[in-house]
Amino acid sequence: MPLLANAANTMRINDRRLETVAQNLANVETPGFRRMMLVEREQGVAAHVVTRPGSLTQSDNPLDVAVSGDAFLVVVGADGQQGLTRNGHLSRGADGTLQSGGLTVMGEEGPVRVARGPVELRPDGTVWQDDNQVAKVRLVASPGGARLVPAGNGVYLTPDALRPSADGKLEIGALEGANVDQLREVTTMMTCLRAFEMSQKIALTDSETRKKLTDEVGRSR
Amino acid sequence: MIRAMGIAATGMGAQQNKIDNVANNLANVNTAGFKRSRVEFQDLMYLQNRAAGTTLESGGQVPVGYDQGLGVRSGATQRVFVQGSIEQTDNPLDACIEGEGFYQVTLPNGTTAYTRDGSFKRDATGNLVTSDGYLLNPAITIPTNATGVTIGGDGRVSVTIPGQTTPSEVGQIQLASFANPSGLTAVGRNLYTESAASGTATTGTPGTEGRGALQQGYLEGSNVKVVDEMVAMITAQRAYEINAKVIQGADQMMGILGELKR
Repeated sequence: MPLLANAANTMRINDRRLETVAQNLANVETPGFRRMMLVEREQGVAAHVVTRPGSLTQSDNPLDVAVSGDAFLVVVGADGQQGLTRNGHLSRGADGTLQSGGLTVMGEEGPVRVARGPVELRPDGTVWQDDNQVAKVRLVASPGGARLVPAGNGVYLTPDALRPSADGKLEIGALEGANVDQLREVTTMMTCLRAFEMSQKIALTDSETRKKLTDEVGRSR
Repeated sequence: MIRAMGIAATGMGAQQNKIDNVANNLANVNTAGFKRSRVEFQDLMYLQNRAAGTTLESGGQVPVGYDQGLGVRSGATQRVFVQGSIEQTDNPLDACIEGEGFYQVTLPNGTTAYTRDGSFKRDATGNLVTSDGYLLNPAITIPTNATGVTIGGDGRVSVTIPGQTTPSEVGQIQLASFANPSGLTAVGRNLYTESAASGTATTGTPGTEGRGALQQGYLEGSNVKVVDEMVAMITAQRAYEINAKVIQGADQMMGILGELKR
């Protein structure tokens, strides 16, 4: 029954596509969130992270930075695992480290640590206190959306080795939002619904044809 | 589509938190020393339906996995400790902090709380207290016969006593600073208490080691910006709406499924 199986498969894929739309729209205001895109492949569906930059909003917080260029910040969790993030909403931890989403931001030489008092970040990633450079934030090149695995909390993991970024810069006093385009998501949702509806019609027609086949053609006179 | 509904519901919940937060910021737009807070969203964990790099029956590898996100959550409400607007009051017992730092006050139970609200008063015995009557720490007592009070930038409090030619110093206000002021616990009444995230307080003279200097006769207003809050409210409302649409979409899909069997 290839027709019915095909229709069921299309419905399943569109269900998943709607889940991706829901995920993207739920995170429309999550700083640094990268939208997911579902791609159909011969072996099933795959989810890509789309690395296109999100929109910037100005903020007067000196610890808010937006990464510009095809680059990521590097963060490390308590378990020592390193991840990539575009969430530049930085804060200070109780241990004096600079943090993004509760994870420690890495510098060129280990975690970025700052003393009490005002901190100044500069576009080249250097961190200054009282006219002394205390650290330089590590910026790495994006390994590409297909090589990123989302881990939640704005963090992405990659199996690739991290390379220094060629064009990564920081915009100080700005925040990068999610790169979710609401219009695109709503359009995708509408096409999902229609495709789902059509598959249902195909499945119905198929089952009616089959019914006719057994009821009428196969009727013994 | 049941999952899509759940995901969209997390989105609606998160936007609800944002609106609640906007309401609190706007309600305190004229509260002295109030620091606005901001809700931070984080994407929730992902389900790895097909991990990238796993080997298929055909011998090839999955080039890109299929990770399904499970929505969003409000990770934290962060207090933004940027300077609020400075307003002139000409009241000699008002003093604002120009820069980082907190006044220390002693709560009735003996513990210390911290505040940016420098609108001090005198109690019956002449001690400097907050509007709620909590003692400033270290305690500063103004003699009852004093005619003038001067608070210096470094926190020194001097009074003029009738019959004396030189003002006499009655104490020095000390400020507390924290490694991570955003980690302080807000307890209401313009007060904050120390938490594990804020780190321990270090106290010192105003105007030293990154602590701000005091300015007598001025009060620090809130740092709430009404325009920013309005924009936040509109975006949150729209995001709430669009997440509701996803729930409707998922509902329609389930309806279609229901009609499949006649």
